[in-house]
Amino acid sequence: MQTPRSDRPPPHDAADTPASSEAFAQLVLGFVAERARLVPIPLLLTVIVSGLLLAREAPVALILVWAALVAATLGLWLAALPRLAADRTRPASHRLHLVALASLANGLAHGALAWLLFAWLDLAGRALVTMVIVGASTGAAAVTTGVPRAFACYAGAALAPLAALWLWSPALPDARLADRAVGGLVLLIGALQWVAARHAHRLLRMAFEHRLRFAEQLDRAEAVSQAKTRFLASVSHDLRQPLHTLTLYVGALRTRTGDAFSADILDKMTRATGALGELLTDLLDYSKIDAGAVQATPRAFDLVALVHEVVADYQPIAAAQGLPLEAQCPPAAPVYGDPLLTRRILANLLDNAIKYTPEGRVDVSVWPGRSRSVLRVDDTGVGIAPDQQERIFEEFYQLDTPQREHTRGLGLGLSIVRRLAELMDYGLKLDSAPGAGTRFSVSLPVAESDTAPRMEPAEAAPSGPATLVPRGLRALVVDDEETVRNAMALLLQDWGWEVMLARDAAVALARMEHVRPDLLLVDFRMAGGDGIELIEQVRARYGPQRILLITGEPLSARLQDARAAGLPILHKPVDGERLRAAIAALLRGEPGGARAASDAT
Amino acid sequence: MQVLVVDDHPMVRTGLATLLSAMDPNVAVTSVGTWGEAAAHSGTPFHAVLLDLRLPDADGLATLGAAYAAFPGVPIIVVSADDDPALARAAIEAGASGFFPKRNDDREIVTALRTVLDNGIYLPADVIEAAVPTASVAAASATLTLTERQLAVARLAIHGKPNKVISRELGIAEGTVKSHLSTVFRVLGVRNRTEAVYALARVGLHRPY
Repeated sequence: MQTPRSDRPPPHDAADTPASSEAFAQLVLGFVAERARLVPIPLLLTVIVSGLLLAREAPVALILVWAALVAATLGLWLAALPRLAADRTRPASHRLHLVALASLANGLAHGALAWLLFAWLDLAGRALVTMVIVGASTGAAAVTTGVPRAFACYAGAALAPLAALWLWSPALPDARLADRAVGGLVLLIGALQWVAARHAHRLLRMAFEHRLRFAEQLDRAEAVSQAKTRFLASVSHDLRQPLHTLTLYVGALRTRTGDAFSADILDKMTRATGALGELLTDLLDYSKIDAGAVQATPRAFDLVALVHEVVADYQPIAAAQGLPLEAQCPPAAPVYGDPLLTRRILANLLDNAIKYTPEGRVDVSVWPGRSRSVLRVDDTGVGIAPDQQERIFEEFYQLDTPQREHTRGLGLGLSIVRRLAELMDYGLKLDSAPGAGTRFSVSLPVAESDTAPRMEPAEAAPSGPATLVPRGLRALVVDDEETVRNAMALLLQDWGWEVMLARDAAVALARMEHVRPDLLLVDFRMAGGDGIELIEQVRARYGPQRILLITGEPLSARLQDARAAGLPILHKPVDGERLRAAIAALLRGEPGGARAASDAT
Repeated sequence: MQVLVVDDHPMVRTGLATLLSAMDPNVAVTSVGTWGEAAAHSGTPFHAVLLDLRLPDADGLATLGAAYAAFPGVPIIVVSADDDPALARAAIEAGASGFFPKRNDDREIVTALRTVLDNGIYLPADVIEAAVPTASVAAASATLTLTERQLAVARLAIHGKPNKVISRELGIAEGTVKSHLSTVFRVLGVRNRTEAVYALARVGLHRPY
């Protein structure tokens, strides 16, 4: 087990690598070149002021010589430094030697003040000169920070002659001991400045190394993350092949097995392979998103239509857990985004809501707004503690609740939700507290009305009252009048249904032999028998079916019997809404409801 | 009938062969693992070719073009680990007569294979929906007006068989073949082979062969 990073000893000092030394040398060279700009003005002032003061005692010619020397070496400094910093053809460490030489020249020039003028000056004059040179040396330390050897050259060239003059020059009638003491002081100050310069260099070097190491660790972490993504992608891909093969064998076995027991086992195997396949798909999707391989193709679409579709898909799953799942939406909400990815977000949120709600309900709602519309998923589940609310979006992280044992999934759902939301610039908000349920809110940009195409008929919820009938089902319409058949067909096709037509019982039965409809709409009156007979024949041959009987006649005894027996009957003319309601009730499995929706008299 | 299975994964090859034989004892399956080996069978009158696009010696849609050329008139069905509808469309455009993703519901796979063995056109329902959601209404009414014969002609044409071959196989005149084809295309409201594939697959969803 790896020890946590903070416990491990720091890795070997990377300072020793030639590459990092070179990089550091280049860095400080840059600093010094930059600071060269600061030198001229203070130096100039110093030269002028001290020159004026000393001119009272010392010959002006010598002062001018000194000034000329200072100017010359300053010129050299200002010219050489930027060029040295920019020159990449020579190693930085070599160039630093040249900087040191330039410093040496400057030190000699500045220090010349002492040995040019000492002979002419009294104690006060010498003290002034000493102050000027020691001050200049402090300035030099600042200017050459990071290159101690340059400072050493300067200080040596400037301070050593000064100290020597104090220690050995002919003393004035005043104290002799004091002269030597000043010389010693000068050397001491020089030494202290040298120590400070070295210390500054070391600090700089450490900071530099830290930055390097940090950058390296960042690179390493990035590489690890990419490796993980590649691993996930290849694992999920490699696992698919044997899984798919298993599926093929289950299929092969199914062609042989007749007995109920084996058929049942095969069904369970199919469920298991399906579940495994879903896990792998999750993993693969996640790795694709992680690798940035998922593109959003945004366009205007109707959020409400999408919500209804997804909610319809999840109804059976919620019902299996005894949870009512409802959608509360306005008639439409045009938004701008990628419908497939949005569908994924909603599906994952519903997955989670259902998973973590042992009892209560799950609600989906859409709240249109001016610039953003909000999609909300509420559940009355276990809730999420505040300190977990950030972590649940991490991949592979799952709440540690009793539900964990029953969960399928790898803990990727919310991580995918967040990333997809980021991809499409949706807002994502979580409100939850333990025991108080959870609310996820996703805010989507609203589509401008002229860019939102009017919803395609197959996707739109039927306009008008909100009775919803699922799309894509197949109906068999049996009626002896062609106009009625076609009218029915058009009506149902408008809902996205598949329509089969038959003009009498014989044709109807023949068609049913090939294709089984989800629903039969049978007219009472037809050639060669009536609708009820057909229904009985159908039931005899194919078992219970969803059937709606339509009649234009008043209720005869026969019809009343049929109704009493539970057959839903609609009276012509049938308007769309009543038909929808009756069909919806039938599909929900409430023949009684269909009856209520149908004509009472 | 003979079927060629091209897939680089040996387990999947054996699995497909087993399933096909279990579904229909008259099916003789030849399975190969590389495009090179597949191309070597170029002359054989296969009933269908099941082709995985990820092969060691040929990758992606270019393989399809080569297959379409190497096996003229034979339906090439793409079997893919990737179920991206965009990939399905690209495959159809490159000459495939069907697409089935390596999903994990065996009943769906059996339906797909059954369709292929019966010369039909298979696309998974969600792939069709992703491409042409509004065509559901058109296809629904098409179900009502096209005859089996017309559909059979259209399917063979999509598989790449020339009209002459179709007329021979079905025992009808070439002129009739042409007329059936134009009727089908007109009724389905399609303008090219790719659209025809989607439309026919949709028709096939509701009218199993």
